[in-house]
Amino acid sequence: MAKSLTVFLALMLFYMFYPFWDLYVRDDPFADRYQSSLKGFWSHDRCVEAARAQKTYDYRCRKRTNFASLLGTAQKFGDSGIGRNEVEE
Amino acid sequence: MTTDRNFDDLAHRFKRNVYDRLKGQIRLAVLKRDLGESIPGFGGLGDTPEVVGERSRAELQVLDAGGGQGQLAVELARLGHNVDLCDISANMLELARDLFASQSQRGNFIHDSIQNHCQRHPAGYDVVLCHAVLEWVAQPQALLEALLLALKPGGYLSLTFYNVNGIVMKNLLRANFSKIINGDYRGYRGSLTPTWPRHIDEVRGWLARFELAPICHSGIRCFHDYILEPEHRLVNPQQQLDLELKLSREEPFRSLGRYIHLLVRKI
Repeated sequence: MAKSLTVFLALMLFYMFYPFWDLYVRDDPFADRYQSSLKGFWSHDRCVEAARAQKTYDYRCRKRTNFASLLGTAQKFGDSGIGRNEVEE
Repeated sequence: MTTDRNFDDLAHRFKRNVYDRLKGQIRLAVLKRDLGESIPGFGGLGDTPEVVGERSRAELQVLDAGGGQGQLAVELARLGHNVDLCDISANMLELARDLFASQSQRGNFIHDSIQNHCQRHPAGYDVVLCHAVLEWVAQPQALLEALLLALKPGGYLSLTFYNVNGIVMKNLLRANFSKIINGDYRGYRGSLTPTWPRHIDEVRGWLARFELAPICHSGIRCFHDYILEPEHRLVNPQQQLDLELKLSREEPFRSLGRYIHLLVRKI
């Protein structure tokens, strides 16, 4: 029982504090912000590979932990931060 | 994508992101100036309703092809012209209907493709407006043919289209060199970035196949959209508007406009 609890806690800690990578893209050069594209890559390299597979030219890979996301303290970056609904004519 | 774009899904985003900002105001200002200077009966574009009311009204048959939410069309209706607004997006037409109603103006709202409507109304219009449509259609030359079919001899075609030079320049400023090298300028699915940005010479080449007299050629938003800091784009709006109007006909700025406006007359 104690062993199961330990494994469960270890997995929880891993899930909460492992630094996943998210991909943000800007397909329209006139858009001021990057849009969220794909989330939850295990490494920066995997995120970059995904961007290249999409033939995306302007992208950012951003590190995030689920713990930080939970607290809403995930850092912002980019020209003017990240906006999910930013669109341009 | 091989079909023409319907904006039912984006009608409200268009209104919020395009027309309600300075960028939309610049676009309308350039168009109003060009049309007002060149087409008899359009001289009152931009005047107050009181001034318009005092003018003698020469009614023209106007088609706003792909007219969307009708920002320009409603002003033409206010000048006393008979305006038909044709669009394949029912949601866009609904917004146009609301706009006309809010300004107590009348118009005909036609839910159909431009091509179909023009085929059914040969030589039916004195003025045909087709703004920001050419970059969304799969067969642009067929569209131009249809528009000119609907135009009476001596009538005017006002055409604006998304300029590929703008995309090239902005990508260069953002150091997105791969995009330029690969010549890939298409917008992603669901964005407001047009599917087929057009080259000026390409469009002029298509128009050259018809009997047309060039009247006016302007760039729309020649520098505003290139200002990198979003907050700087809000600085001194009136000065920006004045400069945009001035530079819209001066090279090299004209050729860098996000949109190009060509006004031609059918001979």
